[in-house]
Amino acid sequence: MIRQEIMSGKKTIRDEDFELVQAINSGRTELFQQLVEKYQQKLYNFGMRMCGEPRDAEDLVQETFLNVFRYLKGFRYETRFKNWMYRVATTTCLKAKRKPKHAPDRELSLEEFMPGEGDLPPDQAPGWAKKPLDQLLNQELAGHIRKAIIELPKNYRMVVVLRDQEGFSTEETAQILDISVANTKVRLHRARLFLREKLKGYFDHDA
Amino acid sequence: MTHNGHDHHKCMALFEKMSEYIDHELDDDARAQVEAHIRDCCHCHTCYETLQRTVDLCRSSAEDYPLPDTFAEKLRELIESADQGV
Repeated sequence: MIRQEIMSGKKTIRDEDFELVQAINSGRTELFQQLVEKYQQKLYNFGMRMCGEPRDAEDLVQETFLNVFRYLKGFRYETRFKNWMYRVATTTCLKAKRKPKHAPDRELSLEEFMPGEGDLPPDQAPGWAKKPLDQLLNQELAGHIRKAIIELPKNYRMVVVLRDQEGFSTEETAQILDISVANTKVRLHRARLFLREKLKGYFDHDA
Repeated sequence: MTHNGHDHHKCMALFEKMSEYIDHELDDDARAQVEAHIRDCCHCHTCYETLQRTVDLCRSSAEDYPLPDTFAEKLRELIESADQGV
């Protein structure tokens, strides 16, 4: 299979969707269904991680595919098709009206997570940081993590979902969100610290 | 956060870099400095272990959600009607 190679910085990226996108753009629009079938699960997962509700996730997927269909002719192969599609999805998500139950859009400061001089972390890692992962993770904890992610302000939620759940690199996440790599790292670190506080609360309560 | 002769500022500097350390995004010098520090400072080591575990849990809990029953059908109809409108 011929795959388009994209130069991104010094790296060469192969786009496995190149031929399909080209065929659709040359008039075979019936093939768009193949893109839908390939990515509907991934986009639905992203919608659920960002919105937390099946109805909202479904709306996000529908709106994203409609926008991808409308604007595919303008896709210039400057990035992987998948990354461009996630850019459409994140833009759609950012335009969606904020749900009252979601966290307000605020900035998280590093200071709120920093231990003070008189507030030392324990000198030994707690049990939840040492226990084997497969013995620790269960449905209840997975549900608690999902809830904690939803409680993050949207700009932070988006970065941690793209990086730690969708599996994009820092550079790809920055490109998808159209922000700098440095800003991506700052948001990711604060989002993770926020989640760590939530996990500490969960395990302390459980102890 | 002071321990074994480390000053608070050093611990705070490490605190800011911890995600980059976890993601292997630091250069060799910065990485070696972080490693030396968390080897000696048990409080920073705890910070690192709990953050690393948070990232591991976040990654491992990212499973597929079940698609709603009529999901694929609705999408097919949506794209077909958009295609007819072209």
